[in-house]
Amino acid sequence: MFRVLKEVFIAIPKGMFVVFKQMFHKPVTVDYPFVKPPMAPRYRGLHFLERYDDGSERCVCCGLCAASCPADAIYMEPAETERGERYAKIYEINELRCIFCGFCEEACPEEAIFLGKEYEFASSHRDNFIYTKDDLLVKWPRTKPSEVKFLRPMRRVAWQQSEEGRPQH
Amino acid sequence: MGDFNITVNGKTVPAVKGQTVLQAALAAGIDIPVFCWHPQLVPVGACRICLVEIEKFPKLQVACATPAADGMVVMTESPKVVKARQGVLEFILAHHPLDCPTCDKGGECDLQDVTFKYGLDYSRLQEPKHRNIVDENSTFDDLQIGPEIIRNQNRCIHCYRCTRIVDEACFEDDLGAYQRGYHTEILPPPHREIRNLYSGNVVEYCPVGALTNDDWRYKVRVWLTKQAKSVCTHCPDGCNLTHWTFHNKIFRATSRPNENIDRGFICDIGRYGYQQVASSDRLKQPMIKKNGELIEATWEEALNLIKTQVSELKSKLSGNAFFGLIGETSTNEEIYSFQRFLRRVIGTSHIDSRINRKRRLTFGEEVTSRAIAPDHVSYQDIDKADTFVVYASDLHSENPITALRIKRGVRYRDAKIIIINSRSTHLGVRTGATNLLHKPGTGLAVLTGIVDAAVSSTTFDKSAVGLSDQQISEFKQAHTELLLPKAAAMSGVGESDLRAVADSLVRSSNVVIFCGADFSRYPYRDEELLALDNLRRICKSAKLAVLPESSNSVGAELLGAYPNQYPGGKGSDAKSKFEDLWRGPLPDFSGKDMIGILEAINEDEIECGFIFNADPVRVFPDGNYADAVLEKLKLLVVVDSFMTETARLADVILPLSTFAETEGTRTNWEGRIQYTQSAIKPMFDSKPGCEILELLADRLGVSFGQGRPSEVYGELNKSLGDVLPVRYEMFKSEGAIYDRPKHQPKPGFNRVAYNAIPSDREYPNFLTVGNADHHRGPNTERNPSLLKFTGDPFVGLSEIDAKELMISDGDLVKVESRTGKVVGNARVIAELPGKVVFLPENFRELRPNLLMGLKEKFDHVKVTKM
Amino acid sequence: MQKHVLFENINDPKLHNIDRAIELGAYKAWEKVLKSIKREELVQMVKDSGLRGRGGAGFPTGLKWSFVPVASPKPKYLCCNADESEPGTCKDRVLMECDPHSVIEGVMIAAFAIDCHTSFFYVRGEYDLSMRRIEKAIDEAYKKGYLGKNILGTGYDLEMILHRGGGAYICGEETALLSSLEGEKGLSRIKPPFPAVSGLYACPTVVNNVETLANLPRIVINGGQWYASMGTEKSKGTRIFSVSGHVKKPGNYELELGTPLRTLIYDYAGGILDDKKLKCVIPGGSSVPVLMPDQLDTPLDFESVQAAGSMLGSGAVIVMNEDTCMVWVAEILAHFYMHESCGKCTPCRQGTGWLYEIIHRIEHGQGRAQDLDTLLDLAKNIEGNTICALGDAAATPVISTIKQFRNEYEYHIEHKKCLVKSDFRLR
Repeated sequence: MFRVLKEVFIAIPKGMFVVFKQMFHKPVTVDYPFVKPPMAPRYRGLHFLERYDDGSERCVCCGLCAASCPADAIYMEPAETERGERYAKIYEINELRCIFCGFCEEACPEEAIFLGKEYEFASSHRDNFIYTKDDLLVKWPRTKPSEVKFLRPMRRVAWQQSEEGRPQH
Repeated sequence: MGDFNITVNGKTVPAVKGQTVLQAALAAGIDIPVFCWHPQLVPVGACRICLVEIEKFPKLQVACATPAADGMVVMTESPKVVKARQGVLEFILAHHPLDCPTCDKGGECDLQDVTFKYGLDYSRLQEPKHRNIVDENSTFDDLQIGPEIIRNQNRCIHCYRCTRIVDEACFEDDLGAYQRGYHTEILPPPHREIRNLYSGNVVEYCPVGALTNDDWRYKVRVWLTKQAKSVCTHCPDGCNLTHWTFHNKIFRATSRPNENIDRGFICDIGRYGYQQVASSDRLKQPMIKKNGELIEATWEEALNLIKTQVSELKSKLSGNAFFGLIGETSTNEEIYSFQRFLRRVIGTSHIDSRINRKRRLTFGEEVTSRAIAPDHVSYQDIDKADTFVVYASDLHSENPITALRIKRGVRYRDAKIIIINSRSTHLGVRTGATNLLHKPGTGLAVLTGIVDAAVSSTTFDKSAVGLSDQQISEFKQAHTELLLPKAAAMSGVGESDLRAVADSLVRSSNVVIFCGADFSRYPYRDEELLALDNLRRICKSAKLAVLPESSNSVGAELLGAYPNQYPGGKGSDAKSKFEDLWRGPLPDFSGKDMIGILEAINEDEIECGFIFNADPVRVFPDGNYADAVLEKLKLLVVVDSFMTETARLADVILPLSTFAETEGTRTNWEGRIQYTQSAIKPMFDSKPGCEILELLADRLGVSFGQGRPSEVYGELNKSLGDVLPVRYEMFKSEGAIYDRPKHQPKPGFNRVAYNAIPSDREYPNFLTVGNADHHRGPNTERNPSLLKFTGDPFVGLSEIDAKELMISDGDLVKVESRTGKVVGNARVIAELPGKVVFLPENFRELRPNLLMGLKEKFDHVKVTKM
Repeated sequence: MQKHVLFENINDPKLHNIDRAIELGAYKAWEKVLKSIKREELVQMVKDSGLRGRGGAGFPTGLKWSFVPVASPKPKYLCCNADESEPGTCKDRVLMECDPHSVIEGVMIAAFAIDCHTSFFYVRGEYDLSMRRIEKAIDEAYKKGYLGKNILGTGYDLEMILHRGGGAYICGEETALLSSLEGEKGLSRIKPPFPAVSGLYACPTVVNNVETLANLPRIVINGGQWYASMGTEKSKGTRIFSVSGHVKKPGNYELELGTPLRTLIYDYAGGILDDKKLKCVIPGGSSVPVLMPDQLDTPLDFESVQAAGSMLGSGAVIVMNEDTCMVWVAEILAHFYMHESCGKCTPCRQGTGWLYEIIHRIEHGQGRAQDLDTLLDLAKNIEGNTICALGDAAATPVISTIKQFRNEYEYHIEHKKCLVKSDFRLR
């Protein structure tokens, strides 16, 4: 009998009070899509292919991103430019296969491929998820500054004999 | 087990006398990194990566060059060795460019692999990397040093494998190391390119991406490809290749070292000859001739048409009104299937594969009565020989890897080469060969002259070679016109030269005689065989090898693609056996050979036929005649991969899959049967040969149930007496040498009847045909890479004739004979003797067979400037 | 003591003419050898004399000759190594220019000792006068019948062929010399096989230095014991020392082996230039470690110098006074080895260049703290891992100067300038 009374008049109101307290807590919900939640700085979203400071593509189609991709989402075919340089004639990422792990970004030796903050790319057709090189390359001239801080801003590195030009170990 | 034991890393390893520490270790599965070592080259110890510690030696030693000695204790992972290896790697990597992303060698690079296993993962270099700049405005320092080879000097680790391969193994002078120290540059000599026939090997064996191929440049990454174990089909050497494929396309061919045959070096034709598979003039669909025009059709339509027409013609005429021709590059299975189809299903014995010879195709009375036949020679015999005679053959362009094997004997065993030919050939360059250049058509005089010089010499030991005085005097009486003084005068070769050659042959302990294309095709083949046999008799130990033309000529002979032969070389007594095997009646045993077939068609005795993978209109030595004759046929079914000259005359064309799309076996010139995997699936709507033949047979009422090569192979093996491996999987790298019956020739010398070539006043020049540089046969011009070496057809003239007729390089000339004419650009070739005109037979626009006439023993032509 | 064996008549201006040379005793030894000495006796005589190679390695000459398989059917070859390129060395030049006949006679005697009938004379490309004098001397010898067929009626044939090098230090190394003689690039070859067994054209070959060969005539005339009476117990005879650097009287001095270094520098070469203090001495050409002033009493013979931490080498004594920046010295030597490396083996080809570039940076004020350790480690990685001794020779000055003068290097790195105010006159 006392137990029932304890339940009804003490325990239950205690529980309800906890819920009541929540009314005064700041909500964590964000009014998406009108307000976008802040993303972590290392968030991995849609890919983009970067360029050098003179506008030329960085990607040399080495195949390392495709080789490291655990989902086999990247397909590429290399070719040669008129100047004898290697570039990607065909470069496609199947964003449906992609698991957004970021291995391609880690593997790339040319600082060419990065995963950005874009996550709003839903579509109603499977075919629309095959992103070609044109879809992935950043716009040139740039409309906003690059998200990436490059170690190598230019393809050609002119050696200078002074201290500043040389990498410090 | 070896001769003695050494200890490597505590493990007891057997070693053979003469082996180095590296060879013993590799044989035992212990890994010692190498860059400059190559199994086929003399070790130089240049890269220093194989340094190992050997007890009792104060300094580290290079494993590749230190001979193994009994009781040696070797350590390959001691701290000293590890430090030295890291040091050497650091030195190599210090100035090695960071090119891995763009370097074609990535994924199969020796430097990557060795560094990953043995190197450090940091660098101490503070200095700018050395750079061999090709273009100031580019970071890609690639220089084209040959039609197909690109060099990036920055990546070079100076192992000198490339220069050693070119100079030491191939006797060429295309590539060298210039300058000194770290400025050493790998270059061809000034104003020249690297364009020898074996040039692709330097790319394959360069441990890094310093030398790369144009056909592989920026195409695909090696880890994406699949490999197919193939055998080359361009010449009868039978080198083993690997075809690398991706998404059903072949991207390149590399060598697959076979210790018995090629040992890792292949010629450029095999290396780039896969490109013809994707050529633009591949036949994609069956075609049927309607109103004189070939129109694409479906397989059903084509097969039905053949069925109705063949049945009709067979009942109206008979099986004997049919013939069949098959090309000698087909697989054994296709050949077996084809001759079985013709004999059992069609009911004819008129079948042949020798479509480009103009003399009698069977040996004559003299040869058979004396039981003269070539020997069974293998590459191992080449390795044992100390003298080589190369007769009537441009060995370098016809059998490049056999030529390379011979050169190996010259390099490492001081072997001698004697070349007997009417034009200078490349084999004599830099090999110290004795060239006996004789007037065209006088080869028999040279051979007999040598034999005479030998037996007349005072130091000749006739009992050592089993000859008697009487046999020698009979020889002299029979050949009064060909004895030494007359032979020398007739052929234009000096007497002393003939004597010197005879002397060296008599003193040699092991002689191998090769004869090639010029021998097989020309009219004096019987006489030449008898004369070569005479030559064989004066040597203490000699073997005679007749090199066939195509990659499966031996297979064609073996499997009954000849009119009077059943598979296995069997004669008419085997008819009932084959009737049992093929479950049905067979026609009369004897049939007509190629020349007989064409005559019979001309006389309307034969009216229909099947031509499989062959192009008689293009290669038969009287092109106009072949064309006219084949036009007369009521039904011509051509099964081929490309739109050839013969295919244009066909009533029905069936597209055939090429060598890369079918599996099967082929027989090389040694008689070695080797298995080839198929590299890609059949392209377009083509079908493999065995499948086509099974469909045809099935439609015509006889179903063998053997549409796949492996199924045909089972029966093929049975017909040869079950001597081959039972299944394809059981083929090992040495293949299977088919033991052909040996002959016991009759003692004494043979009589060689010889008539000089009549001269023709109206047509004063002689025509010789052969291969242009980097071409072989009629299909190689479909390979873009090979066209980079010799792209344009030409008419080859000697310097004397060019001067006389006032023709210089590039002038348009007309070459005419009694049967036809061709027009082409002239090229002055220094190696040609006077009066000889050379036409390459590799180009469609310039067909030498239009100038040849069946009735003429030798082809006389005349050249005029246009 | 200054004992004039090789320099007996060196100051005679007409000595290079054969008539004058014969007057002074040339070719008597050759006649004696041809007519009255057997091959085995000659080899034993040279062994007894204790003559050691004067090119740098100091290998006993008689022993080297005895490695040749005289019974082999292959022709034997003798080559005189006149490719004197070791920095500091100029002794062979004097012998070839002033007394070519004794050198040629030495070649003849050595050829006889190994049953050689074709001998070669490989002269450094830059030694124009030497080459012309030797060429003339060989011609004169042919004319007088000392060379050619059936020499002096004894039935012995000997041809001597003069070959001019293209100007490479590496061609002083015997296998590279043989490669160059064969017409290929002058690249070293691995040993084994040793040239005595398989050398020129894969035939047994002996390569001897000019000075070694020039001693032979006098050994033959006076006997092996006479030569062995000079010098020390293990280093017999005399040798020519080329003294250069900061001394008052630089030049070639022939002294008995065992003479102290101090005697050579102060008594014969006149002492340090401008009477400054001695900093260090390189006793045997740039490929050997330096000796410090406290080691001046080291006797100049193979064993003692080795015990002192250096090597006698080619006998080129380079003297450096207190105004010499050792980093500058190291830079010059490193540049030399980088330039002269043949490029066949990896450690020398890449390592010499790397060593030079680091030292160059240090000398020009761009050195870093870890450079010294890197230099030492790289030099250790080169030493012992190369095909020929050029790699060791390149590593030695670096290791030796850092060991003895580390403070100078550290000063360079820290203060970006030389510790020592160098004497610019001799730059």
